[in-house]
Amino acid sequence: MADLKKKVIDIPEDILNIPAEKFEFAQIHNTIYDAVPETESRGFFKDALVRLKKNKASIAAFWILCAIIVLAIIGPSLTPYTFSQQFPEYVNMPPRVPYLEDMGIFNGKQVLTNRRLDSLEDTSKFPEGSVLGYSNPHEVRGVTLVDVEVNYYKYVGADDTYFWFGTDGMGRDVWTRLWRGARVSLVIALAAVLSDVAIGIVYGSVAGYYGGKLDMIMMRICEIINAFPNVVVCTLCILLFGSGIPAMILALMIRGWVPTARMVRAQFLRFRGREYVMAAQTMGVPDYALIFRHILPNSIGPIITRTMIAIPNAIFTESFLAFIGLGLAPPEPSIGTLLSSGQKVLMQYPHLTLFPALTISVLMIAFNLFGNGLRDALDPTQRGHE
Amino acid sequence: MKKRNQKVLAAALAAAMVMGLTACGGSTSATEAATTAAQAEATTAAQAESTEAASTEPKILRLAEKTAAASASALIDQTTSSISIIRNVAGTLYATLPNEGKAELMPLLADGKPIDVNGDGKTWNIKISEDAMFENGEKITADTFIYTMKMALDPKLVLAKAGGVAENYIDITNASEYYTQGSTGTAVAWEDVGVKKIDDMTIQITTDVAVNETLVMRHFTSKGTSPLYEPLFEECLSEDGTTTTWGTSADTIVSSGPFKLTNWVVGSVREYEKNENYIREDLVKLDGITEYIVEDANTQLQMFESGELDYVTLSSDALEKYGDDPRIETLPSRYTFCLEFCTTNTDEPILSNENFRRALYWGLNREELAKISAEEPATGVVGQQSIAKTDGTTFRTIADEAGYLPENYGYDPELAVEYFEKALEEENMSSVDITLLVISGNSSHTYISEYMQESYANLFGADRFKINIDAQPSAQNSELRKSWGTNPNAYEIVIAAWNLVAGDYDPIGALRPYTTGYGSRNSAYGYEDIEALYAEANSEENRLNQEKRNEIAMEMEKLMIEQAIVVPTLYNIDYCIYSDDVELALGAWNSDLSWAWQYCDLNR
Repeated sequence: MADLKKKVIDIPEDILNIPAEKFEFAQIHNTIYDAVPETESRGFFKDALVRLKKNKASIAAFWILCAIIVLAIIGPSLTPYTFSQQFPEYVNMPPRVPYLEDMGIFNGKQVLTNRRLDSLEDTSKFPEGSVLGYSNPHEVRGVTLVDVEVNYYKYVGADDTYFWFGTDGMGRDVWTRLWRGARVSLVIALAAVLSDVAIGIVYGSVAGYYGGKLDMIMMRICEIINAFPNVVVCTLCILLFGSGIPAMILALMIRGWVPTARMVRAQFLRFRGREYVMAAQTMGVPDYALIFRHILPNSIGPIITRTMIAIPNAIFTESFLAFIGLGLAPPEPSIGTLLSSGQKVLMQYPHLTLFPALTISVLMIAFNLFGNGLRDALDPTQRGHE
Repeated sequence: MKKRNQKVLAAALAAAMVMGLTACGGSTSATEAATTAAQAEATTAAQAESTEAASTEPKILRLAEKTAAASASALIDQTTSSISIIRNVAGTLYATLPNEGKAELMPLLADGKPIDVNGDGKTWNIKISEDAMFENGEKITADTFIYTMKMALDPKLVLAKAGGVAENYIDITNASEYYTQGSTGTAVAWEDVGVKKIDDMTIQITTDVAVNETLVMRHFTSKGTSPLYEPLFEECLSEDGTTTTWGTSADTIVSSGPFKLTNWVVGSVREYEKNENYIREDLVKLDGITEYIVEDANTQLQMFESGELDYVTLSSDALEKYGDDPRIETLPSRYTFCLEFCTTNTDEPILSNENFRRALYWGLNREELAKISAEEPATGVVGQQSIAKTDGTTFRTIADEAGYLPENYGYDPELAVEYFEKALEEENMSSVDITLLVISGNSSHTYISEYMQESYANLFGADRFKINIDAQPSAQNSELRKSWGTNPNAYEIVIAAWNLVAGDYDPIGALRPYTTGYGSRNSAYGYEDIEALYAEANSEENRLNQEKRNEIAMEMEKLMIEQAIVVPTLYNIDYCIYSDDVELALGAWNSDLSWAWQYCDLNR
């Protein structure tokens, strides 16, 4: 025995020979506490928030989203026009914004191409002060034509009017219609995604929790639904139910819930065998409580992330459908219908495409960046990392 | 260490590639420079001999169509794109041709005018010219025409335009009965149809009703009567003789017209060469025509601007860009956009209420609408191209002189509101909510429908009158419109425009779609007074009396406006530009020949 000790660790002879009565219990009368953590303690969401705040791009995206949402709510009421109000005498006006116009942008300037040079003096055609200059004189069949730069607002006799983003072919204010359209797009996307999530959660939870044959059948149904191309389903749905906001939401919903259902099911498969679940089951907790109280909250992170990523997809799909002519019935605008009608006159009036295109691009980028940030923040494997 | 070596190697490789590429680029530009220099020399040389070169360069006119054509045969399809092929390849017995700068109806494949054999105007002999032949040099004879008529009216084939061959300007004896015998069940032998061969170069046409020389000539200007090349047509027939592939490709059409189709890539391009065997070859100055299929109006415009096209139609937005360009040509309207009402609709009985329709008629500010859509306000129903007199005076001109059209383009808001109140009272309703069917993607439909939606709501009150716009693709739209017979609630209100086809420029013809005699009409119609007038116009005594027919047409139009049977909104106006190189045969647009591209000249 002594040989063995000697071989394993080299303990000095005098320590080995300390007599047993010299030993005494060190903490037999004390309570032992956990060490107090050096950093602040925090819950899952607080932790996520801290991580999210570190992500500069996400925060920027968040504020941009807020700005767009606020504009979508109050934007249309900032002008004296309504979204469907037509000014037949003011069609296709260029953008003009007070104050900015003094800085040389958004000043209602437009180049009218191929006008007769001799008509520039004619005040019935070009009112006093509307002509700013002309260029490119060329002769066609004996007539000299020039490109005239005009103050379009003076040209049509509307010097005291301002259309911030100009007007469209029916003389409707683009600013009002754009934000009204953004509102419609957001509402459709939000409603579609929320209903997706609701259906997906219930469906995925049931399939994942009960498993077995039920799960098999439910997942095959999902696959069948998923097998139909999205565009075909949406097109048929709109042809069947007409083009309104509810029909559009329905069209986006039909296939939209499947990914959520799959994801929730995967989460359930992961958690349903855990000890705490078994313990609750043993204690007679009913299935619905197990599903919604005990297992589901574990998958809240992925669900939020999935929702944030699904919103821009829904907006995009809605715009796409509108673009191919399956959008909302006029006069209700959505970003897609604005783009669709703007694109037809892109060469002549680029501002009709520019503003909706910018808005939808910024909106999609912001949603995606914010969604990415949320995904990183809510990732449980990242917990504690900063 | 090894890894590091790899990295270095990769970097070196990358560098080598970049350098290699640059080297390649360098050498290419060197070659290019050489080629350019060579070309420059060649150009100078070419310029030196330009006098000879100019005359040898082929004169090819380049046009564009928006849609692909379905057929090169007028018997099968007569949509715009098909017609542009048909105009090039179809020769007819008679035709409107440019004659010293004027359009004139004259014999083409025929030798002289038709001869009234018995003097009763019912039996007509047409002699075929000795020079008439197909593109392959084979002669066109009486047998060719007998075969053509027989096939055009074939009861098994039942071609889409058989009706136009049987009865158009004249009703050929038993022709309609012959081609419809499959559906009517009454057997009619070909021998009983009023088309006979007299000798090798003469055919005889008989009609039930007396007609005159011009009507016979007019009837045989219809491209449906253009000669069919028997050997190929037989080959194209299906075994049971019910379908044909005639006119579906460049190989299944034989031209008797000014050009022959040499290449046809469906949906992309159609190329024609001058037909040297064309009977009036002397009139054709071009060597060929190329038609591109370009769906997008903006692309067409760009092609025109870069000199790839010789002619382009302008959208209202492009029109703004061209401003005061003196080259812009305005074409008179081919059709009128009218609101038609589905009076059989049981969901919306207000549609058959006369006062409601009147409210819509008087409540529309057509002038303002026309300003937005760059078209012309329409108070009358008949389009601007309808011809009333032989000297070319249009029906619209004489209608304006007659002065029955309302002032201010039929806009009277107070009257409209009055009618609207009356209609609501009569129908015992507090508000109206109706759906307007339009064609999706059609800019005129968009302008009209969205303008109406807003302006009627402003006029009658947004809480009392609401228009929902239902935009459907053209095919669905048409199906819905036509199905009112089987499904009385198929639609509520529709924007419809009746396109006049060649040979239908007579004002009574333009009003035909609003009578029960018209099979593919959009609504039930059957207004007694209108029907009576229409019957009167087509009675034997008035049939040949254009003046009387004009009077009846005006009376009909007046009644239609009074009862607001349809609500005319805009005359469709087309704007276009043709290149300076083109020298038009007629100097202007003509309702029979369009631009007469076949006979124009190019100075490039």
